[in-house]
Amino acid sequence: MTCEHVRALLDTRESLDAQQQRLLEEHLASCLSCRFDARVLQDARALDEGEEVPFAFTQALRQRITQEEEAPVKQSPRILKWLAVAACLAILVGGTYLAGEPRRQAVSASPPEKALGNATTYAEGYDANFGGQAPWAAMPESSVAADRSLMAREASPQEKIIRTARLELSTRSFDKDYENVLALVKEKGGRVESANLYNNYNDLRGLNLTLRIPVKQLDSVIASLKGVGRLVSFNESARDVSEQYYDMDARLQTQKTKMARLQELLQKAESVEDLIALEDSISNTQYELDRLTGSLKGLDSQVEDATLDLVLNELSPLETSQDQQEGLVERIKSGMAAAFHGFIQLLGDLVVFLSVILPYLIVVVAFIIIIRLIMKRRKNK
Amino acid sequence: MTLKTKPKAARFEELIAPLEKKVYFTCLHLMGKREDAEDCAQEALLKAYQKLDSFDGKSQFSTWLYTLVTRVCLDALRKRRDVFSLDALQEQGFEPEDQQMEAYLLLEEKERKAALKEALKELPVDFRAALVLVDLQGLKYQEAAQALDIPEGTAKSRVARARGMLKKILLTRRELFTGEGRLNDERRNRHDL
Repeated sequence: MTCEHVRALLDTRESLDAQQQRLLEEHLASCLSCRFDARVLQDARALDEGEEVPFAFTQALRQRITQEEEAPVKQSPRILKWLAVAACLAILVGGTYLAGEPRRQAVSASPPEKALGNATTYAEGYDANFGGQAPWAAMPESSVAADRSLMAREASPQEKIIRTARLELSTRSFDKDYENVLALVKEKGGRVESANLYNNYNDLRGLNLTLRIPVKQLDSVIASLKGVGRLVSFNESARDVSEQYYDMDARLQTQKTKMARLQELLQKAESVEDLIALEDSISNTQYELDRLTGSLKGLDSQVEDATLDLVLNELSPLETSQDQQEGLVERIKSGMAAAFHGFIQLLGDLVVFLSVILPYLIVVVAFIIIIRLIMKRRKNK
Repeated sequence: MTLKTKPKAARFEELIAPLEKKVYFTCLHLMGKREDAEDCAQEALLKAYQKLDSFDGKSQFSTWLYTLVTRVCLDALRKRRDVFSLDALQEQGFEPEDQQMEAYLLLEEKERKAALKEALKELPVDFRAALVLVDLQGLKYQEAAQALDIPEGTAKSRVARARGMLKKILLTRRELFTGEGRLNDERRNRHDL
């Protein structure tokens, strides 16, 4: 048995069989170096025999374990918790707001902008949506009426004035006010030239009416429409077409005279060539007569019946009334209804937001799980 | 009540009862100083308590515990800037003389053990750790390798080299023996085997 063999056996001395033990001891008896190694190993294994762990150590350890067990779970400072909650809420609300942004951008193209665009007196272009109150609404009746009709004076019979006006109203009782408008127009002898009904944002309705109102009734109609809804904007223009009209009329008379003359000449025509030439001239003159007559009639129509473009917008519960005529209770009710409606909208936007980020959340969670599994495996190795 | 359903402290007590002494003396032999050893032992056992729930049972509890203990002690030794790597020169050119070995063998057990404890402190830390786990604590090579986070072959190699270094220290550093290396004539002829 070699020394190396013996060293290997020494590692498992307790589990040697009888023969191995005998061979080992025979070698140790004759080999001082291996005997030395065996003795050192024996001493090493028995190094701590008879030694005891100090009682103080044991006691201190138990004390620390008891403290550890009784120590409350470390709570992160309250403020951190509230900050975490606030951060989560901010993310949720921010994400929800962004999720609803496309809807709000659609809103920006809606009638309130149109209202501002056409206002003659710009201050009149206020809309409740912007939280302002139309200065118009606050103005006394008389000045309102005066301001409202820029062409309040009667045109002289010789003057040919084409009046057009544009009126934008907002109302919560859309259907009722629509009927009221139609009834008013009919009462005043006007007519609806065109109507366009459409759905606005949030399924709110809008109505574009082109009304033809007898010019003498225009101011009265406009004043009456104030009671229909709430005025958003108003503008009016008056175009003096007198010169054009009389010029056209003069040309018409000229053409009539010409026609009469041509008819006379036609009666006296003797040759075929003269007949053809005269009929050709008559034809051209008739064409001019017809054209001028038509144009004059058109101008007459426009002068006699003013054009009133009416835009009627349905108000949503979101829009609180800025009307001074509403009492405090009504305003509170409106505000609460708007807040509730807004909350419902927020919940809807929240669901949309969560649905949109769900795929990303799944990917992130899966990634975190994989990383944790890898780290756990490395730790176990 | 099974072990798992017992309160944590009770479970821990049951698990470390047979190992507390081993842990203490492992730390003692690794650190060399009693105060440092007690600090490391406390820290290791407390960590074991704190991480008890994370012990998944895939290895033996003793192996898991020795891993913690070794890690704590080696970290402390690193901070203490103890020697970690072998000074190769220490191994070279040593041939034990018979007289030296005989003299050692004639010492009393108490003196040998005292010399052994002192000699252990001289070993570089990584070799000391391997030797303490295998020869003093009786771990198998595989368990010691796991505790030291090294391959089994490396563990065997370190143990072998540590034994060689220990031998050299014991035979060349006579001041480690009680009585400052002076042999007692009355014990000269005693055979301890």
